[in-house]
Amino acid sequence: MCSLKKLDLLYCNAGIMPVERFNWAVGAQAAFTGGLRYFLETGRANAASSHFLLQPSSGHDYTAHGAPSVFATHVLGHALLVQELQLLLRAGRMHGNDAAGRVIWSASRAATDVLSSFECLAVPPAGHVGEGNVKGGHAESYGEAKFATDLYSAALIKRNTVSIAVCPGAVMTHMTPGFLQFLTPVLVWFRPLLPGFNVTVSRGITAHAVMAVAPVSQVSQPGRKNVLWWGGVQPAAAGAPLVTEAAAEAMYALVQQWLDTAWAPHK
Amino acid sequence: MTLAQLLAIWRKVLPCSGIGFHLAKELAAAGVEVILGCRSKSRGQEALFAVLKAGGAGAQASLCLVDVSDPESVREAAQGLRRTYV
Repeated sequence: MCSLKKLDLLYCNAGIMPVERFNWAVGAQAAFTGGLRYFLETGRANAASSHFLLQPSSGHDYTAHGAPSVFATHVLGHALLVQELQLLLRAGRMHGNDAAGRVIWSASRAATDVLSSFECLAVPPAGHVGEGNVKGGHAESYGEAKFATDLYSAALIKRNTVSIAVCPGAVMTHMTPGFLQFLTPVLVWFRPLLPGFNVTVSRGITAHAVMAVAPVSQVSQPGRKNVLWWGGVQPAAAGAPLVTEAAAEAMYALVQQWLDTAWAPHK
Repeated sequence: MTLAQLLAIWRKVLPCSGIGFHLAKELAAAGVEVILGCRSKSRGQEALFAVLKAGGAGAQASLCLVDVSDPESVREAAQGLRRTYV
């Protein structure tokens, strides 16, 4: 089979989410502060609160190449793939097709900038083994990786890549803890009341599918996270961490440092 | 039957698989040629079968084994794609 000459769409969707325990206090906080809607859509009581799905706070798994596994899976691997496939994503390669391929990142409204210094994501010193030298906590490894995704996507746009961040809303996938998956048949009944609470994957992927055909000028903008809202797609607003040009460039430099050192090809 | 087995069965009947899998099925059904990037060969083959089935007659889909947490695996997969399609 060799019918493809160009990649039109590259969905960067791989993800993992280690969950240590449930943070019921966040649910209670949401209930008592009027933030239940926000809680159901994002897992947080408000933009500054911690997440309902608490992640390991003293570090988490590291890959064989020394990178925090969540960051590696969500960001580094995809970034490397995008770089390696640039030739296939380029516009006008074959058959007069002038449209560049689109890099579409699965983003999340659970993204958090709580670790915006990125200290804990830094490349460890040469010869480092394990996690001993990695500074900072990982209380929000999923949220921080998703924010890193937003930043990296913005940096790619600055480098003339059609990059799009899209959030399916709150959906129950195989990554979701089992008891929430159990509740899916119940949770769908709340959908009409909650615009970003899409629950099922089949509904959530609508946003991803729309990104394949939506006008690039509308959906591929630095800092814009497209989210499925009342069944339509619009930019995420409340609670979205701010994607600044400086932060996006810092994340690009950090990722590049990983790819040039610990993730560089073996000689 | 243990509780763990019951949970496993229940999780299978719930529509809680991954975003990528559902998306690939939808795209294939819309006539898009799809390359599935999967870490596990056995699960990837199952997914590929489901995607081809969803795409109906003439569906085009293939499997590319890749572990995005491993740079060598990513480079190998990308090299394979470039070799096939460039």
